[in-house]
Order: sequence, then C-alpha cells, then structure tokens
Amino acid sequence: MALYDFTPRRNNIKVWLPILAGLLILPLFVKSEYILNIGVYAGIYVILASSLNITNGYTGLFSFGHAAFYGIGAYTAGILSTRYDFPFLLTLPLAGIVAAIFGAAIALPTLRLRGIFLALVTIGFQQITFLVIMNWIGLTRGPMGIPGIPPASILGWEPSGNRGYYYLILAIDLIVLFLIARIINSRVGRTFVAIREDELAAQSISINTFHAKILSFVIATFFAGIAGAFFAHHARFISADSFRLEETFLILTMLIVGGMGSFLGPVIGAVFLVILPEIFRFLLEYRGVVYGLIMIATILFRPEGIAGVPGIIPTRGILSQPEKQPAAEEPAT
Amino acid sequence: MLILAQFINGFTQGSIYALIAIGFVIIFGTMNLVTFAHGEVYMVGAFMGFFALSLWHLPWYLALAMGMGVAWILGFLIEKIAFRPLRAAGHMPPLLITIGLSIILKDLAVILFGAENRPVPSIYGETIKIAGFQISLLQLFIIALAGLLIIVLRLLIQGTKIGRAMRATAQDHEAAYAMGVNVNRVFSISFSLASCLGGAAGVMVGVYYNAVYPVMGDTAGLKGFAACILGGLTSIPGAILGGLIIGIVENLTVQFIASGYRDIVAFLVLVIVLVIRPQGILGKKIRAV
Amino acid sequence: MNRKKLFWMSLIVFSLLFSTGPLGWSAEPIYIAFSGPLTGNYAEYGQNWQKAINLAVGWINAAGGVNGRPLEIVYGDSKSDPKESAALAQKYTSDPKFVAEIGDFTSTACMAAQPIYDRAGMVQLSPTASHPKFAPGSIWSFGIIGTQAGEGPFMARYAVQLLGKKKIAVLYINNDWGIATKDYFIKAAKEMGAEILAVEAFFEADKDFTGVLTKLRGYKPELLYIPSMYNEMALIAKQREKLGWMDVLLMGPGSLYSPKLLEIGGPSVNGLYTSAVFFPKDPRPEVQKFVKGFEEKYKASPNMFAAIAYDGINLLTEVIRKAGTDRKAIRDELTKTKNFPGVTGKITFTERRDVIKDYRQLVIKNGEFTLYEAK
Repeated sequence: MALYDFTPRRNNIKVWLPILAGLLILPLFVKSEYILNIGVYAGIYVILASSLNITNGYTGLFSFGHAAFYGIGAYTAGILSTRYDFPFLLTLPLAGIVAAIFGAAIALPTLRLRGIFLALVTIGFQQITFLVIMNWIGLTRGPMGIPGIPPASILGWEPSGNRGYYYLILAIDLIVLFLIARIINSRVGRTFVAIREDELAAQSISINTFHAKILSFVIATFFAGIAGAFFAHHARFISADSFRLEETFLILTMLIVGGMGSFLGPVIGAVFLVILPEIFRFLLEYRGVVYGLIMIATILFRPEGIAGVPGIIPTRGILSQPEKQPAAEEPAT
Repeated sequence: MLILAQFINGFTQGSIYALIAIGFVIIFGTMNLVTFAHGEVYMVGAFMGFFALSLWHLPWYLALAMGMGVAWILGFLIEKIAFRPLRAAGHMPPLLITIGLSIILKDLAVILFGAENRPVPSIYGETIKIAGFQISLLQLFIIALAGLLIIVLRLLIQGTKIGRAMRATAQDHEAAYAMGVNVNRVFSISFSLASCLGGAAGVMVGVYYNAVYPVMGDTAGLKGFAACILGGLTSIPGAILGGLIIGIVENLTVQFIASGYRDIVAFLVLVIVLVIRPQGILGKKIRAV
Repeated sequence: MNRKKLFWMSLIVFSLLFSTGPLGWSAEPIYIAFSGPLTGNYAEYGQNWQKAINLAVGWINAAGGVNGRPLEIVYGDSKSDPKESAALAQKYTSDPKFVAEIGDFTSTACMAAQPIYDRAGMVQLSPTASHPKFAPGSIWSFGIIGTQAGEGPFMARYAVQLLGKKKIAVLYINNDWGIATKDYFIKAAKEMGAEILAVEAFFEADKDFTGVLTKLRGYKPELLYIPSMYNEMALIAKQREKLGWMDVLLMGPGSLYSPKLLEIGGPSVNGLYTSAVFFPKDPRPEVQKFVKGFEEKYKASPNMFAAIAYDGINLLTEVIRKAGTDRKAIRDELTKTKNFPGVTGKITFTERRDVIKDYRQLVIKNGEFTLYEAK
C-alpha cells in the first residue's frame, strides 16, 4: 500500500499503535527540556501542515496566507488571556473560531480567483494582517508583542515544563488528526478532492463548489488558529515577527516535502523538517539554505513529496512513484 | 508645498517600484509565469552596487553596471534551474522553486554578508532650488535614471530583432515557435533582462536610502508585484503607472495618516485590485476567475 | 601495613596531588548566563558588552576567581529579539548550573524574558534596559543604567534650557523603550515651557525616512528629539541632509553614544546632541584602570555600553562573593547594593531595583563625541 493511502484505522492498528505508544513513553526516557521542546514544536507544525493540506492538498487551492491565521489564533489567545483572564480551555477553541471567521471573510470575495491570482491575494492578506498587528498598538502592542501569557492550565493542572506541553500537544494532535481524517473520508472530503481534480465536472453534477471551497478554508484556518493559541500559551510571549510570510513558506515547505493530499504527508513533512536541523546541528546556521534546497529537490525530483498523492503538482520527477491505476482497488484487509 | 515635496518623494520611490514591476511584466508577458525570487535578485544587485561604491570606490555608473550585470547572470541561472526544466508544468511548480531559491539566497546573504545594514556612501547629496522650492538632486537623479532605463528598454523591445522575438513570443509563443523563433532563448533573455532591471532598482535603492541588507528584497519584491498587478500584468506602461501611484499614495499616507501604515498601501492595493478588477488599469482581460 | 591499605593510601595521595596541580582550576566554575545581541541590528552594542565582560572576567580569574572558583560566562546571542531572549531564558533557567543572568539589551527583549526569570527565580540584571516598568516588574529584575524617568528630564533641560530651543518635534522608535523615552522627554519639556509641534513613530529596521522627515519639516521645529538606536539615527541624519533640511538641531538619548553611529553616519552626524553616563576621560582611578585595560587589550576606546556591562559583571561578581551561589541569596544580596563604585557612577538600587544616574551632555564635533560646553 502506498504511503499516501495510509490513514490510521482499526484494521491497521498494528502499524500505528506501536508508534503512538512510543511517542507516549518517550518523555520517560528523554528528560532534556531542549529535546522535548523540539517535540512540542513538531506537534505544532503537524497541525499547521495538516491544516494547510486541507486547502492546498485536498482542495487544490493554493493559499499562501496560513501564517496569518496562525497569528490571528495566537493573538486571540494572547489578548483574551492577558487582558480578560480567559482560561486556556476557552482561548484554544475561541482562537480557532476567530481565525475561522477571518478565513471565511477572506474566502468569500477571493475564492473565485484561480491559481496564481488566489496565491497573490492570500499573500496580500498575509502581509496586511502582519502590518495591522504591527500598527494597531492599542490591540496588539505592535512590535512590543504580548508578554506574560499564562501557561496552558486545564482546570487547575499546569504543564510541568516541556514534558507537560509535550503530552498536551500530543493529545491535541491526536484529536485534530482524528477530526481531519474523518472530514477527509467523508462526503465533504471527497467533494474537496473532486474540486481539485476537475472543478467543472464537479459543478456539472450539482456540487456547490463555492460553498465547498469556503468550507475547506474555514476548516483549515480553524485548526491553524488552534495551533496559534497553543503556541501562545507555550512560548508565553508572542510578537508579529513569528507570523511573517517566511512562516507560511516554512509550513508550505513542510507540506510539499512531506507530500500533499494525504494523511501522512504533512505529518511526516512537519516532523522531518523540525527534527532535521537538530540532528545535523551544523545545519542550524544554514537552515534557510537547507530548507530551500530540499524544497527545490522535491519539486524537481519527486514532486509528490515523501508521502503525497502523485499528480497534485503536475510534474513527474525522476524519483516519483508511478501513478496509481484508477481501476485497481486495495482489497480491504 | 509640503504636498509637492511628498509628491516628489513618492515619484522617486515610485520610479524604483516601476522598474521592479516592469521586470514582472516582462516575465509574465513572455513566459506567463511568476517568480518569487525577484526580490532577492534585486538584493544581490544592491549588494554588488554597495561593494562597488563602498569597498572599491568605483563611480556610480560602474556600480550600476556591475549591479545590473550580476543580476543578469543570476537571472539567467534562475531561469535555467527553476523554469527551464519544468516548461510544461504550469505556473505552480516553478513558483515553488523560486520560493525555495529566495529562501536560499536570503540565508546565503545573511551568512556571507551578515544581517546588519551596510552603509552605502552618499552621492549627489546636495539640493537645488527651483522656483523657491528645494528639491533633492538625488531624487531627480533617480527619477531621471529610471526614465533612461525605461527608454532604453523600449528601444530594445521595439527596435531590435530580439525585441521583436520577445513581442512575438509574448503574443503567442506557439505561433512564434512555429515561425522559427528560438523560444527557449527568448525566455532566457527575457528573464535575464527583467532581473537586470531588478538589479538596477536595487543599486538605486541602496544609494537612495544609504543602506543595503539581506532581507531588503522581501518588501520590494511584493510591492513591485502589487504595482505590476495594479497596472495590468501584461502592460509596461501599466507597470510604470502602478509603481508611481503606489509610491505617491504611500507618501501621502505618511503625510496624512501615520508613517507606520505606509507599507499597508501596496498590499491593500494588491488585494483590492485582484478582487475587483484583476486585469488592473491597463491590462488585457485575463482569465483570473 | 598490608597491601590493600597501601593501595588506598597511594590512591588518595595521588588524587590529592593532581586535584590541585598545575593543570589549572580544580574547582567547579561559577556560571553566569549572558543574553545579548551579538549579531543583528544591535550587534555592536552586544559585542561591546562581550569585550568588557571578557576583560573583567580575565582580571577576576587572574586574581583567584570568586571564592576560589573561576568565573565563566556562557554567551547566548539573542539579537535583542524578544523571541530569542525568551527562548534563552527558558534554556538558562532550566539549567541549574547558572546562578544569575546578565542581559538583555532592549527593554522589550528584557520584558519578554522577565516572566520566565521571575517564575524560575533567577536574577536578571540588564545593563541597559531603561524602561521605567522593567525593574519594578519582577523582584528578580535589576537595571543599572537608570531609567528614562531620569534621562528624560535631563535631555529636556539640555534642549530647552541649555540650547534654548522651545519648538520641538519628536520622532521615536516604536517599541517599549522608545515610547517611554518619548513620554518622559515630552512631559519634562512641556513643564519647561517647550511646545511639542509633532510626534511621529518609526519601526526598528525602517530604512525610508524621507516621507516622515518631509512631514515633520512642515511644522518648522527648531529641534528634533529622536529616541532611536545608532542604525536608524544614522539614516535619519543622512536623509535629512539629502532633503536639504539643515536648519534643525538633532538630539537623541544616550543610546546613540556609540562609535558605530560615527562610522555609519559619517559627517552627517556632526552636530548631534546626546548624553552619556560614562566618559573615558573621567579621572577617577577605577575608570582609568578600566579604560587603560580596555585600550591595551582591544586597541580601541571603550564606550558607554562596554562600561555599563563592565559594571554589571563586577557588581554580580561582588554579590556572589558575599552571598554564594544560591540564586535567591544572590538576589537578596544584590538589593542591598549601596554606592558600588562603578565606572559609570556609584550604583545604589532603589526599592524598585533601578538606579539614579548622573548624566553628561555630549555633542558630536568633527566625527568625535565631545563634552558640551556652554558658551
């Protein structure tokens, strides 16, 4: 079975359960705050890449504004918790909702644009969000950022160091990935793929593609907002600097290298690119160069990435997987 | 009087944005593609100009020539890496590669040159008085230089064989190919030419603001793109108009609102134009929806 | 004696011999954490800190260290970016070997890291944070450069009373420090009868000032007060020249007292007015020892930033000598500091854990910082 077909199910529990178990007991063996911190960031980027996958991978809409929604979520959580003492249990979902509202607001006028024009308008929105955060000092404290965000406490329990945050992001990841998998495997998800493959054909069988595209955007930005809230409560300090266009490019790189349009793709991409500069420490200074090279190599040689569906990026590379024959169906095991 | 001064500020910056925007128009017009690495080509040109002026103490025209030359070469290489291998792949894969290239170039610049500002020596620091009003000589110089480059460009495109080939390819590259135009070569030269203009813009910005630094390409590239879209993706006069409008509106924003909001102008323009009238002011109607 | 006893005795003797041998320190070093801009927009400030701290630590260790243990500084580059300083704070506080922290440079970076040092209970001594809300923000935070509550009125006196300029416009950097600096200056200047004609802000790393300078010029101020760091100030000076706006005086706070300003600004910064808490020609013996030692080691004159970091590390060392290496004991001892003889003046902490400084007026003449002399 190809990597891009893999979704954790009851019938392949033998594959993913050991991995999950390994992740759960990891902190018992690894005590270093620094390494657990990397784990936490991997968890955050898994959500970001997976959510971007919904619009860019499954629906084929090239959005370049993801970091803006990540930022909106983070600032929502930051403002609500520092100014109005909202607890983490409230700021997390509210951040997602606020980000999704912005997502819908942006999607409505712009989703009729195609291809490069959609990409450009999302970049425009990304930059405007960044500049508004920087300038609206009354709301966001502009370049000074929001310090002193309280830790993610749930009904009295507070994460003890990075180990606590690791388990928390692991739990959130499991919930988010479960939800995403359910959405993808439902009619809604199939509608997304239909739009990607041939929008005109989808319209001709009475699918309201406009509504579906908006929904895709709303779902993706909702999860991005949640990632933002978690980030805010973990880092305890946020500033507009973390949500620039570079951040969108980073998330996009993770998605492309890991692979678009599949469950595993963004997960692998996020974990791989977060861990890579830590394994090869000397790469840390050259992180930009390395990420750029990996992105270019992926597009040139294996455009579907490690675990993505071939064909979304319409070229074939030397290392590409052969495209699956449409008639062959995996027998259920 | 104050408005006039801001107008001139805007005209100067607008001329530079126009040069960058023209680059995008040339690339999109001939190749139907977009590059996100243009800002970094501009940055490399600017650094070349800085080294020429500050380290080797060369006169400005040599610095400009060197900046443009290095940008040309870089453009040539980018076309070979990102666009040539993926001719039939549509616009997205080459775009993604240029994103990768832009990340690499920025990081390399930080590693090689350091992240700090490099101070570019001043030229034409004086002001002159016209009709009782002070104008900076440097601003006039930049406007004139940009104008000169644009005129040379027009002569190139209208009057030379390669210019005709570029225009033919822009109109219909398959027909041009059928008529014996070496389309690959035209693409390569177009990209290099556009990059060369970007490099010139970089040198001029370095001199105007007395500073070059590795991430200077980010905003410049995006604003140049906004100018290009405002003017109409496929129109060179449109790009000039778009650049000037953005430059002037930015400075009027500083004057009447606040200087922090200046950068938002270009992006608001980008979003509004794309939503309301994607072909911009002077562009042909394009299938954007 | 039997063989076993002999063996153990020789082992003990040998280990005693080698533990204090000429191979160097046997004692475990005392670690102090450093958070500051070694690269980036403020690199020159952080590098000056590093030079001065290395000088001081070299002398301290040559004289036997602190209570017999060598002092070791672990340098972390924060670029004075609040994200990085917060990340470094996480790293330092979770490592028990660090007894205290020196840094960061900007008030914003310090305040971003402050909650982390506060929660973990570790001293955060900033040589340069001058925002009045920094030190009071946590019982673990200390500032030794004085605050804008002190510098603001001093600069206002300089502008309004000494130079006699009553029509003033302000162009400030939009961060915590810039806002506080502008506020205190404006308040004091107004009390002295000055008229604040216009107030505009710019962002760190902004390059284009032609628009905002043109706007300010329209108000016809006599003096521009510019809370800024060296990079932006140099560009402002150059660009106002380009616009031909020479009939206005430029003044800025002590953050500008740095050789990099002269280097980047060139002749455009001649005539700029600023302040200093440290001047190399000060005849006091501790100042001369520092200046001579710095010049010998680095072949360059120390500036205020080197001086303040020098004071910071010496102060921490003195406190550790008295209180030992427990983080809380260090903090408690630090608050008791009275009249510590720093090269930037005597250091005594107020109950807010900041200090009150003596400033001097400076002006740039012929590419050099000189003391202002009233005519």
